[in-house]
Amino acid sequence: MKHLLFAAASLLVFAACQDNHKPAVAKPAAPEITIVAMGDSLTAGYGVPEEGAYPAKLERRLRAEGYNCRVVNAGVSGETSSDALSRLDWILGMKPDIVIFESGANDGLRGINPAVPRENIDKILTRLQEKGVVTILAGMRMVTNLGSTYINDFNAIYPDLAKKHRLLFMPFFLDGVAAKPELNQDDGIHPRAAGYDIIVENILPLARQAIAQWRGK
Amino acid sequence: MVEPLLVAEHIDKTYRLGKRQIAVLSDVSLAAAAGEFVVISGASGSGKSTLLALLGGLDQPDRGRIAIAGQDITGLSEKRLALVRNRQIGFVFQSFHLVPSLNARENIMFPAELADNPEAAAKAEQLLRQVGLWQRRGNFPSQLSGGECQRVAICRALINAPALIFADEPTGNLDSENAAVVLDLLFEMIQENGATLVMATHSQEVAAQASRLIRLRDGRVVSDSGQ
Amino acid sequence: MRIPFIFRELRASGRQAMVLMSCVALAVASLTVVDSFHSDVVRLLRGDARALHGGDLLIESNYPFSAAMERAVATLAAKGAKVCRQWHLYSLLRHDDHSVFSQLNIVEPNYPLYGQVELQSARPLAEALKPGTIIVAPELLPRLGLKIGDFVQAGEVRLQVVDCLMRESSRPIEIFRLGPPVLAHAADLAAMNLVREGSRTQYKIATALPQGPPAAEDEAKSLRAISQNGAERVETAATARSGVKRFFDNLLFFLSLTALATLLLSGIGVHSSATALVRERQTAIAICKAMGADSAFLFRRYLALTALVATGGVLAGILLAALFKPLFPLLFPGVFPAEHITALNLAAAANASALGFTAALLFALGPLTSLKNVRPMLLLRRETASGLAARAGQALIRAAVAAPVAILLVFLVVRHMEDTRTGLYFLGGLAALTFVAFILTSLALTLARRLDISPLIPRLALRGLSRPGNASVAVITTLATALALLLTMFLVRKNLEDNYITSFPPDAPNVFVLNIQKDEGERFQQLAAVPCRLYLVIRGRLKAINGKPVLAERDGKPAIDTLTREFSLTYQESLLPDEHLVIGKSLFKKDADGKLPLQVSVLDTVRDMGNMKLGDVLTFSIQGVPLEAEITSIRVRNHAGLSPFFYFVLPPKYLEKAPQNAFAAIRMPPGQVAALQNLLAAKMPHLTVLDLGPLTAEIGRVAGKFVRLVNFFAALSIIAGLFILWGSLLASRLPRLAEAVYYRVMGAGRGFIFLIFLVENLALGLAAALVAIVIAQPAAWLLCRHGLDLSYQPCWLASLALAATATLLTGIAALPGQCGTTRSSLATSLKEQWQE
Repeated sequence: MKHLLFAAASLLVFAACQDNHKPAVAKPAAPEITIVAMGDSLTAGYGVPEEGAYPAKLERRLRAEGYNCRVVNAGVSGETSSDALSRLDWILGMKPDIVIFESGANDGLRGINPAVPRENIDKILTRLQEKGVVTILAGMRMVTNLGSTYINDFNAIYPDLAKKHRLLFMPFFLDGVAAKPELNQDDGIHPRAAGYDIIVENILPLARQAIAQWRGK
Repeated sequence: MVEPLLVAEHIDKTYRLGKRQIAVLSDVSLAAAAGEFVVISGASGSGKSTLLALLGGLDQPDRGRIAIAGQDITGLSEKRLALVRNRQIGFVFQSFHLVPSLNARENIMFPAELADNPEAAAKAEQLLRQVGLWQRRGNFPSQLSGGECQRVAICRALINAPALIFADEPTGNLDSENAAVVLDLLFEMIQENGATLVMATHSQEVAAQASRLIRLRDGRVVSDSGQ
Repeated sequence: MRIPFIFRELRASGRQAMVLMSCVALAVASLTVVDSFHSDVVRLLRGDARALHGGDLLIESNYPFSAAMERAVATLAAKGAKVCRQWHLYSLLRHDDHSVFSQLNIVEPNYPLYGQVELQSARPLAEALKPGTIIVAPELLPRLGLKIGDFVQAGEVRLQVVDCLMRESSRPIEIFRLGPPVLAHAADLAAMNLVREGSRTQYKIATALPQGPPAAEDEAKSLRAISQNGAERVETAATARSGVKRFFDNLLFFLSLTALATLLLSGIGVHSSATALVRERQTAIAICKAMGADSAFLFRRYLALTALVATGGVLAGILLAALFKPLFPLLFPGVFPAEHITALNLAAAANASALGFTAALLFALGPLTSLKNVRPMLLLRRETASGLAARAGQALIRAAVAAPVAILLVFLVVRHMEDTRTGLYFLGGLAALTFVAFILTSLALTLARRLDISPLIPRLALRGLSRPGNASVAVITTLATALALLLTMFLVRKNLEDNYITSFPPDAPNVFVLNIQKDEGERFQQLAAVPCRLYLVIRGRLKAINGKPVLAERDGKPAIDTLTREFSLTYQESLLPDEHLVIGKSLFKKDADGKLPLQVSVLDTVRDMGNMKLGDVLTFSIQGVPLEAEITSIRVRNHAGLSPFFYFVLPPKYLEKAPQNAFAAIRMPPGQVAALQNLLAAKMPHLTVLDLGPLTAEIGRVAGKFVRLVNFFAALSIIAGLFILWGSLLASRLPRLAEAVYYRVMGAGRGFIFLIFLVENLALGLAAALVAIVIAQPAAWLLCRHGLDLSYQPCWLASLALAATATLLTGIAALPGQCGTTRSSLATSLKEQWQE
């Protein structure tokens, strides 16, 4: 709580200062940035209202910071990386400037051979880059009950691909949230609203970087 | 030689009452020609009603022969006997025995309908008018007085123009005024049809009008004015 | 009171007394059996429920248990409770280069506390499962290329496969079982190193309490108090898995209802046989009155007679029950193992006797008070039974006499139901049912009396219905009430079955394959080489109805089945085979050019969630892309089973491009599923196969058992219904006999009379059946929807079939009574009528 208060206070200070400094933030007249949050139930916000999931929260935070952007929740519960690959065209149809990509957890939870998500995600990232979309890759770590052989293979997918495609990389989407009963719903997998607050905190710096990258193009 | 319309010869009838056997009729013989008015009289329990039932084919005698228009009815099958009752016989009972669920008109029409007579309705209308009950044709027996019920019963007995009418104390349940009306109607209508009327009664008055009087006592014929 | 009088009457009215006694006997017998057996059934079902859950008290969590909970469990154990810890998780089992995603159940040696685990070797589990071993589902062997005795890699240890797991009573019903189950020993838990931080494991503690289930709820309450913010769930066998629990509750409730229905049906039987008794004895009654006996005197004597007969019935009923009960294990092998059948429960017998006796007196009161209307005049002036019709004043007296007995009966019934409100609802409903039946019947008969049809036989039959003394209104009302009760029970049973049992018909799919991508359908079908249907799924959210945003109803709580969740949409041009339209003429409306504009067909359940109606405009978000569509039809599912269904269906054109995948529903022999799984794992590894075979088999097994149980109790009420039929026809025998005699005197043959009465009885049965349908449909709907919370199917065809059967049965049941009508000599019959 203290942490949050501090964050809010610093924001206020930041806002108060902005007139006197070089504008770090886009002017209202700047064109709207389309950020598409693509992913599975963790993105869709299974079990919480859509405004409680991270895309809506992220949009509020970015707008509060003065960015003229919208964050589209394109999360689909139960989606595997194969599903994600099939619907990439639909996502691209929205002409996203930035995509935050989170996928693969369902492949893991169903014990699908890690080679499958690796190949799918690789293809997706390649397409996104071809289309000039600034991409943030959210990493996933598989639950330990699958055994070390599996989780080692699985967990390696994300850093490998981030390095290969030279992407903005969030090493673990659920960092600070996973395995904490108070931040998760009773199923032990899906974050509560409070869990999404932490996720948003973790994404925010990457989002700012991505916007900067997009502006740089 | 032509046999009379109704012939009964040496009729015995015994009823079983527990282990006792009660002889109701013994060696009764009689005959009635077409158009005759026969009265069977006798005290209560003398066997009048039983005799009438046997003559009308409602029951079978233990012994003897009953013939209607030359046809022996004692050996007839159930089905043939029913046909005889329907076409050749009409009944009038002391307690009317109208079908309570049918109205006056339907009660009268019934025997004709059973005989597939297409003119059942017309014939019933004619009879109803004749006995002055046309206005009451839709009434059910429970809505009719005793005299009215008996008039309906007479119409019902006559609708198939039977050769024989059996009447068992037809005025027994009526007051004297109604009784007179009913009897007059009965005689008038039977005369019109030329039917034979066999009536069981202990009314001396009625017996006096008979063309023939048969007296019963303890199941035996004690006198027969025709012989 | 002179006893000989009663016995004389008893002798004189043998037939009616027999029916009356049989009715009481039947009611008492079925109540005793159901009641004493109710406790057996409860125990049996509770046992089943307990076996399904494997404990009296279950504590589950997705995290290791808190210290407070551990202390509470230790306290329980100190008090004598048996504790069995279990860990349920998914992991990969490996052998050579095969791996299979399996459901790993790691259990302590005393597993299971209740119920049983069936192994292929038929050994007890404790004997087979030792540390270092593993027991696997048989389908795992071909998938991993294993045989018994081989070693398999589980986490960081190698375990020897020692047996195959055939059935586990405690974990039979799981729809989304992503892999075959295996059992491992808790001693190997640490070495496997699968349950540690960051693992997704269901931690479970099952306990068996020394005091058994009754104590479970109290213990559960105190444990719930210390459970940490809901992450630790505490359940009892009675509360866990609401679906299973609801099934058992419904079943018990239904059995109670059937027993009561049998009682009330028998009561109606008593009513009609008592009516018949008074009617047949009315000459005798008139003579008694003429000799100076007053109504009160006669009423007391006939009441004593009824009480005597009812007592006989009660004794016969208990005897019947006592004889019958030990036969149960023979009659229902498998349903009732002999050890579950206790001796006749005395309390149950006493309770049933009280109910049966009271009901008999109550239902006999009406006919007995009509004794007052039998006048000595009857001897002199014959009025066919019309004197028995109740007058307004009479009704008041009757009500005053009946009230205390009725109150007693209400009290007993309510007590029987164990729930005052339900009991009162039941009785209120029944009273309403009878009243409606009476009104409808009276209306129908008034109409029949007015009707002037010319064909002779139907006219005579119809007239016969309003024959004085026939009491057709009473007979039809009685029959209709009885039939309505039976039909209601039938419909409720049918819907119970449909909801729980035939939801899994033998041709239902037993294998689902998920995540088939858009362009893979053909490849999948070729590979699988079995006939299957592909269902396309497009994920989307509902954003607004008529422009009004859809909001979360319960903020902060998981909103699983609210309108704000993600929905699976699909596109197709026709209805699914097990759906039908309730609103709208066709699935979609065509525009002037014959094309299908953008529109949506919704399922009734989602309509009810969102209060939607035809013409409403729904705004969807298909993964970020908005889509507006008008509702042009509303659909319902015929069954509530495992077959796929979609809340929203749109015409193809608009969604073809949207992101979609498909799942396949396949019906295949269970033995071939493993081969398909192996094939897909090799060729299309991203697909997920759900094998529902074990689930459907288990449901079929349990369901079959209960269908037989339910049918048995339903049969009892049907027997009661037959008694009523018999009693009712006895009650109207005399006037009918009289009429037959008149017809014969006029020259009608036996066949003719037979036909008239047959048609009359058929009309009577038909009228009763139709009234019954009119009443039973809404009654069953009410019971299903609001009493049992089931979806409701009216089953019109079955209703009509039942009506036809009832009609035929009425026609046939009446025939033996008529043979007497036509056999005896006419003269005797006429005389009897006159002299009686």
